[in-house]
Amino acid sequence: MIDLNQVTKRFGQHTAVDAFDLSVPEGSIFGFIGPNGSGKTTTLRMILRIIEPDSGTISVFGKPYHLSANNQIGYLPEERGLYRKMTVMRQLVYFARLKGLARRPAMDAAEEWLERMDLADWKDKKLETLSKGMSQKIQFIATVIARPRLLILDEPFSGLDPVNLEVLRKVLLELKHQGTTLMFSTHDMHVAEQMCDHICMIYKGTKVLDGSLEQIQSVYGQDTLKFRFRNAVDLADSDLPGVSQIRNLGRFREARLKGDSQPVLRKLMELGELDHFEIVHPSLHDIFVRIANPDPVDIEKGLANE
Amino acid sequence: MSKILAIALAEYRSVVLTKSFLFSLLIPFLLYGGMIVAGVFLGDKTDLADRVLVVVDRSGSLVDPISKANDERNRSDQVMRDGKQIGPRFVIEPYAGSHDKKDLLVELSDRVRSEEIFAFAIIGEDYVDPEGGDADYLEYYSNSPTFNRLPDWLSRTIRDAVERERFAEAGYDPREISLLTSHNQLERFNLAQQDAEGNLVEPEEENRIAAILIPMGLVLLLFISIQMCTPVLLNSVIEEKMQRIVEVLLSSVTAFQLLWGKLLAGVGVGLTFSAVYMVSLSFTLRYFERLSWVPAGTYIWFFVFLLVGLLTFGSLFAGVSSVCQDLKDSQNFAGTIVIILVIPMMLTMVSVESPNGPLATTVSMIPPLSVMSMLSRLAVPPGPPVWQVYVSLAGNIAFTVLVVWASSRLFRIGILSQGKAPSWKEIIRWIFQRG
Repeated sequence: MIDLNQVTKRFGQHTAVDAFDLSVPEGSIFGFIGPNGSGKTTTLRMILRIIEPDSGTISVFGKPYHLSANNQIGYLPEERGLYRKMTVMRQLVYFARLKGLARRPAMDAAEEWLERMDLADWKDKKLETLSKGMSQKIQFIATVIARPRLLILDEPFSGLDPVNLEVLRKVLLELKHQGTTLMFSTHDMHVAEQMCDHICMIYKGTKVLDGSLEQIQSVYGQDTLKFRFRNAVDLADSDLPGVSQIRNLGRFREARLKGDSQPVLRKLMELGELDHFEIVHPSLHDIFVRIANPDPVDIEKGLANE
Repeated sequence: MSKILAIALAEYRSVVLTKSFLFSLLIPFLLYGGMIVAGVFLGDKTDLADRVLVVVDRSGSLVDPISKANDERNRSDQVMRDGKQIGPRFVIEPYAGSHDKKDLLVELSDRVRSEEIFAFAIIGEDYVDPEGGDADYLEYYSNSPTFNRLPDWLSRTIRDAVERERFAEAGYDPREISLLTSHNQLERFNLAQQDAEGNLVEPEEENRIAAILIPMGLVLLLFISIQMCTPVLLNSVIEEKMQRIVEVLLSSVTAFQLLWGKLLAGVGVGLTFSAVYMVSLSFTLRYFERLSWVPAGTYIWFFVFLLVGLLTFGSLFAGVSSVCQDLKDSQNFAGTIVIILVIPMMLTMVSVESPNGPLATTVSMIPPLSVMSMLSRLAVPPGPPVWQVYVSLAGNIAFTVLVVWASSRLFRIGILSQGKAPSWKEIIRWIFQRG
């Protein structure tokens, strides 16, 4: 669906994206992750041809040159933008018409989506009278109203409350089942883990992860301990043999396992009333942090920023 | 193309359906309609009140001729027509009060203030004497500085009376002198023409006021029409940049389509505004049987040059707004463009007075100044040589193509730019930047 080959983009002296390769399979949900300023938005803008790469090739739908005005691509930018003084209906019809829909079908589609997103009562209201969550849903409708084959979403879940997040997640999954390819960037690793068939991480303009969640986790192996005490126990890295980066997550604690797990288990049982002990793959969040803020161990093992 | 039209339509509607724009379209109807209504219903009924003038005649010989002349005036068609009063009557009241000037000034000024009398005049003792003297003066006092009919009539009447008296004293017959020196005023006409059958078409009397007002009015209308398209091309682009709408738009349309959609909307707004004014002007002139005030072909040339002007200045506004980060920025840049519009406005009087002079001819050949300058020349009969009009038009079209090209290049990069406004050097680099 999308293929990037050795794509590079520079802004003055700064290289935002460097010799970047990417392949997004058709019909998948593709997660695009990376810290702030790593080149995610620049890459998405280049895919949309809003900006041009300095070198490399980009093809979408198998065509090397396509217009940013491709009616089959829906784009939700990170910084949402709608006309504050325009009514919801006029706004949606306008954006639908810019995607090539005729007036009548555009109005029908807008009515249908507003009903679906529980915003039908607001169709004649100006956008400035809507709450932030409602505006975000309107922006989302404007993105999908023309039923695109490819949906590119830059941080679609940011700022949404759990209820609206679930509404959006449900709609995205429905669109996927209808054959739409979804590519989205996110900082919410939990969402990426749950939804994405494929994940790519960009860091400082270069690709550092690419594959399914399982493939990515298999690279790191089962090196994470997840445990819980019934009683309150103070722990430091030095208290446990072969363990580093102990983090209290609230209900559980997590730690990096560098060697054998048995001595660690014994030590934990000595220290308190152990309720839960599990050896797991690192979470995507963990992997993200390890790459963006690498531990000397990872640098040694060559797992950071590869 | 359908996307360009969709943008143009949306932008056009967003301007022409605003209260301020609709009100601006009502102005010509109020203005011209008001003139017609006033003509029909009010006629010359305005202010027919008598004007009482107190005359302090220190010369002792002028108050009688003034009174006599006033009686004649009050019976003339300046005041009465078909038994109906159409103008104010003057009432002359000789002064018989204090001889002290200070006292009489205070007394008569108070009477004017209390509206008992309208004005008063003081004629000096030596005013008739050809040699003059310390008291050779004629003074007029009133509380209505804009009402000129009375002082103008008084001045003419006293001049005639003094001349008659002086001629008589010198032994000349005033009637004979009057006959020898009388002549009709100069009358001005357009050039004579022959019709297809060789008959003389009667030349029309030249109208000085129309000859100045029409070109000035057309140039002013062109200026305002171009200014009217700025909300589309300046404010909306800035809003889309500041509200981050532009990225959404650019995922659906190219920067070029966006620019042209806005440009067409701006042109549409300008044309709508002008069309309403021109149509209402045309109807008003037809009503007053003054269609000849606007030279033949002027309407067409007006819209041709307006179209060129709207495209040129519209794309300049769009290009400039795309590189600006906020309204303050855009107003600074737009100020420079407005100066280009104002220069030919200021030269309009020169073009009207001497339409084929070197300055008017030169300016009317330099785009984009020539848009207004050539229009003002066209509106003054018989108009400039045809080749000059076409050369000016061709120059403007070429300039427009250049500006639209440069603006679309600038727009493509500027529309996504954030942070501080670029320098002129950067703007030029963006225009010629590859890709």
